[in-house]
Amino acid sequence: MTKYHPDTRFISDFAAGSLPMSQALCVSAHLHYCNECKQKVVQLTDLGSTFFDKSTPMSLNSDFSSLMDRIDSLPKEMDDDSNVDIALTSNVSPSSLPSALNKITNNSLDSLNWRKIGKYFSYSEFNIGDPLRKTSLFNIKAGGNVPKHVHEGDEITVVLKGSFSDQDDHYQAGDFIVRTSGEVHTPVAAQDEDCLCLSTLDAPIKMTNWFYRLLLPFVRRTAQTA
Amino acid sequence: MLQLMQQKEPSNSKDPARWNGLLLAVAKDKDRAAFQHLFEHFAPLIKSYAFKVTELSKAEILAEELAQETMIKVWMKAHTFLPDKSSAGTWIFTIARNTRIDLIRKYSKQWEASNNEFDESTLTADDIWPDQNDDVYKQIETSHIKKKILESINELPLEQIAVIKIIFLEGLTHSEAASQLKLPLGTIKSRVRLALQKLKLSIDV
Repeated sequence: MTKYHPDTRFISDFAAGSLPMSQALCVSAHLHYCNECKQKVVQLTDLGSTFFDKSTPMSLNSDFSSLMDRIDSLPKEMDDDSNVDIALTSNVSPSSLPSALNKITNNSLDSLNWRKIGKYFSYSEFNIGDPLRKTSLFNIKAGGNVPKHVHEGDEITVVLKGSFSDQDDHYQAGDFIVRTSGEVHTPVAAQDEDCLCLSTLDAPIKMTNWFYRLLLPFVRRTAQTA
Repeated sequence: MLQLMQQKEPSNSKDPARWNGLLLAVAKDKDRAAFQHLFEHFAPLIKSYAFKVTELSKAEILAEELAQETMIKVWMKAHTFLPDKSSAGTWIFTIARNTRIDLIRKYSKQWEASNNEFDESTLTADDIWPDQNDDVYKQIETSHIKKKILESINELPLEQIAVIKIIFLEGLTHSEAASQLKLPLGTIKSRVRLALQKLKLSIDV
């Protein structure tokens, strides 16, 4: 049962479409596990569309016939966009990672470029066009731990499979955990199953490149503490 | 036929069911006259929605493009619209929202700096923001939600309406809204929370 949810601020920025891509990916991953928050998003989208309906229209420079000319010049297969249905239903597969992650991983976690740190921890970073944040999947082997580390920026973690614990609580699939800069913690995966998580970490903008590369998405102090 | 529908417009124009009917006609028969009614109503709203993205110097071009692109998607995806899950107005709004997200990304300096091609493997807004809720609500419930919103929207104090508009129409995050209005983040958060309470949306706040 999902216990940790995005707060109203995350949910409304998500519904409004303004949340940065990496954080929105985390919220959408949470929604995959949480109908309660899905309903909130639907309600807030309705709220947004109510204000949209009431907003002041702006007349267009182009008219309807020029739009139809554009539509008529599109290739036929695009006009009949039947792929959309498949995309909408693709997240019912039993392996059931959130659908956006299936796209990122090309439906195969093994195809990613995983980097190992220590015996238990590996991560794979991906670029979703959000240079202000580091976004990655990470895996903690069953019973393994992540070396003690300090967060340098705000981080969102969403548990996708398995579970982990730290000094505060036990987190399971769907849990949406926000850690702010400066918090120290030592996650340990459950004994019986690997724990797969999605995480995105704010990276300060003014970093030089070499320093940027040193700032690993999840563990920064590993080298010193291991 | 077309003229007849136009004559009817004033009495029906506020009826959300009318938009559903027109959208379904586009879905079933590629009905151009029906699509023209949707275009004339929604395209100017979409342009205005796009134009609210203030930080872009190309606002006028972008707004025009967004209105056109959104309407093209409405035409192409009309057959995926499920009237028992969503209303036409909300559905078109979510398409405009998603199209705006991707357009802003394409035009942003951040995207250029990331050196990525915007191609089929790129994660798009549609991958993250579904344009239709799948199983959580039936249309009867969403129209109930909309009714509740419309009933109490006029009771909201102006400062709460202002914040809701900035967040839902201008596309600013809570933090960006705070710096634009020169208010603490906590104030923005509480105005949103108070507004949601007043609208009686079942959201824990």
